[in-house]
Amino acid sequence: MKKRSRMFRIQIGWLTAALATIVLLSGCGSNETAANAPSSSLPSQDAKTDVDKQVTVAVAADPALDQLDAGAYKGAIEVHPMVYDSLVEYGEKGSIVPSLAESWDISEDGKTYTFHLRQGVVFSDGTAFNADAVKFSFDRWIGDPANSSLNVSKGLKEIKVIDEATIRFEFGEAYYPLLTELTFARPVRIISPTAVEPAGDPKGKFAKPIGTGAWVVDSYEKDQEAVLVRNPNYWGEAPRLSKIILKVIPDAQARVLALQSGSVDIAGGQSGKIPAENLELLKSDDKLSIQRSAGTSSHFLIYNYDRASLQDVNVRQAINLAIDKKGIVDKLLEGAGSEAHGLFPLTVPYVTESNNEWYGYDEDRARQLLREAGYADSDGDGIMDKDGKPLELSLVLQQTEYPEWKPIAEYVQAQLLKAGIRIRLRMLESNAYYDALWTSREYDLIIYRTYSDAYNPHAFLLSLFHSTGDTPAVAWSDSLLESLIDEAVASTDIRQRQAKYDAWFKRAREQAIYAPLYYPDDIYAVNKRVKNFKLGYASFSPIVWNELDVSK
Amino acid sequence: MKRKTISWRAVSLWTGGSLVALAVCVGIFAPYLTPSDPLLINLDIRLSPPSLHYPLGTDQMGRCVLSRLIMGTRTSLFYSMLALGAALSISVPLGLLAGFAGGRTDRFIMRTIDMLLAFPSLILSIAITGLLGPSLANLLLAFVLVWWAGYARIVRGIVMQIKEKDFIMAARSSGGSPTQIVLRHILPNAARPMLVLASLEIGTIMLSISGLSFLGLGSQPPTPEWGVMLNDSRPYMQTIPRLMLYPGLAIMTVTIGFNLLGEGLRKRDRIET
Repeated sequence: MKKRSRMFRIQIGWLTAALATIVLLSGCGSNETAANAPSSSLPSQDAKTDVDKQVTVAVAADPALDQLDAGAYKGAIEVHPMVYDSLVEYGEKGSIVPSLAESWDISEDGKTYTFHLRQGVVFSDGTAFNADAVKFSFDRWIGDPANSSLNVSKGLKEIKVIDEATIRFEFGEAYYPLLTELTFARPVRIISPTAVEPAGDPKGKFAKPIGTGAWVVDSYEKDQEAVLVRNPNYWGEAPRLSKIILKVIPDAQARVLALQSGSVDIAGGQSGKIPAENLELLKSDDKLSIQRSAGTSSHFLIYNYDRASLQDVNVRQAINLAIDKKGIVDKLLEGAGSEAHGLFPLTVPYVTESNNEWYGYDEDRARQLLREAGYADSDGDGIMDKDGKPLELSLVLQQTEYPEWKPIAEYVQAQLLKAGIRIRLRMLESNAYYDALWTSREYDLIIYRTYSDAYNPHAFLLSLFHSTGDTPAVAWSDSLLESLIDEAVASTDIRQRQAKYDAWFKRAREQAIYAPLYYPDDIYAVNKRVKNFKLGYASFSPIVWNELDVSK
Repeated sequence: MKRKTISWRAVSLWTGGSLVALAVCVGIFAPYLTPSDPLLINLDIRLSPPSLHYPLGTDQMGRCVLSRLIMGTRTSLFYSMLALGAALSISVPLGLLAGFAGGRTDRFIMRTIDMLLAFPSLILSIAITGLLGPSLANLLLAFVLVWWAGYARIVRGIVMQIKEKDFIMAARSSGGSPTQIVLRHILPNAARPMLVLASLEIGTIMLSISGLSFLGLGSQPPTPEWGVMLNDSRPYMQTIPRLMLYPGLAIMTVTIGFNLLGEGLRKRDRIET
């Protein structure tokens, strides 16, 4: 009898699980309301501003703020620029704006950079910021092989402290995006020498996140929430909010419910994606406003260059021609994006109308190209074959971070089937997905996205289409393309650089070395009590946090 | 005066039986029952409401929901049966061996089973499919590896009960070899309770397969499967709840059917577990 009652319990448990997904999810929503009660324990840092001014932001992944080392790649990338400042910041359309460096001089040959630092700045714990602190921050990671794709790290010869407020960087060669690299979220930002143990030792172990930024980590609970409060020592204009709470909500539907219930104020962007399917629903909610802007990233299919069938340019072109990119945007993304014409959208530097051309949607031409490549449907099963082997390819994707990839992949599968190519979808868990992409390369096609803003185009091209050390390029290996990237990155003349990028995009198109799909819009859903919501210029600082405010 | 009572056992048996029979028929004749092609994507008619042509409407890819449900019956039933069969082929021989041989062999098999049962089975199946990569075949493998243990223990219990019966003593004293006794006398007598108890488990297996597919570890698109359909319809939970309701009801109906049938059979045969 004992066994039976256990079995029954299990069955009832399963039944509940299957049936009550709705109940479960809405349960999540109501649980969160309790946590939103205004906290009274916050110490008043500034008598002029209201203590209760706080905003709750939903994030999909644990922000790992206990590992928020300025010089490493751990912790939520969006929090790095909140806590740590850089010498220069990324402004509108890629302009470089002063931050901890008030001004800088670049030598004629482009190899020496002298930065004049802002004076009177202190870290959040009261330690003075000076040229030594800058040298300390860079010494911690310069030369580490993990940073070899950064030219700041690879090309640096020496950092000289001239005086308290002046520091000079000397490089082996000229390299145009250097200042842009210094705006990155990590590892180039400045951390206090007191943040490591033993203090002041560049080889010391990271202990606590201490920067000069506007925000300080107040508390952090793994997989639950993180609280950031205003830095009392901040050198710039004090933020209007006193507190920003990052609440971890991994499930996209749960984020939507949390927005509706008011337990979070902001969700969206890269860190807490709002599914396109829910846009209409959120728009109809009086409490919420939708903010969207054309992003700088794009999503595309990578071809595995080791596969014999994909080494044929006709096949690569045929796949491009067989995909209805407009249909993906209009129907599957509810118009929240635009159809891809090339690897990058026009919002990316060096991408122009003329160098951003791609293959349209032409099913007949796709079949024609496959026939030219020697394929024919000899057994009448609808799948093209050659030498007795059907044209069958795997397409690897993940759903955790990009929920929209599944319907898109299913659509691509159906469209390629019409052209005579059979696609086997492999949906992987996100770690296994990244392993397939970067390490094992076990895929024929894999869907991926470009990086955003400051990383485009040079850092993205270097990381995917260029070999690093002994490792061949990740996405496509072509010696001409690799040398074009090198030449573009090394040129100090903007017209010459543009010509190199033009040549790169032209060859990429002729060779059809990838299949661009769509350029997604950045979408945020924001509670109307939040005022001054402004999108940032870089994906790693998606929102202008310091100007955010709330109405009572 | 004799009061006429409706036996709960009969109700359970007949309701369960007819639900299962219906599901099996739908599964077998699925290709003839579908009103449209369950794999045909047509984005122009996505998320359309029920109509004459699409009795339950279309899903987010513009596919006929009814056709997908019908084909999904086939996937779910077929794989549950397969999982059950595979698990039985491990657990029945081992359970027979442990129950009949006793002693050291019994202890060794039982401790292995205890070890497997100590793991939370769902998490173990998730770990296995995570390692091997998601596909229905791997899901089945994971499921069988985890699930055979519990059933082997039940088989052992049944065998030990039968072993004490007089006719086994008779067979033994008349000089039957152990293989003969197990195959000729124990197995035929144990088969009935074993099958009844197995039918009780099919519901659980179906739910687990749907559950793991819901988590993206089971069937891969575009194969229609109930758990996957349930997961795919989550974004429309608030706007088009019917999309979620259909696969949910299908899973519930069939699981209840199997549980009622199994429970009815168990009570009829007065099998204690």
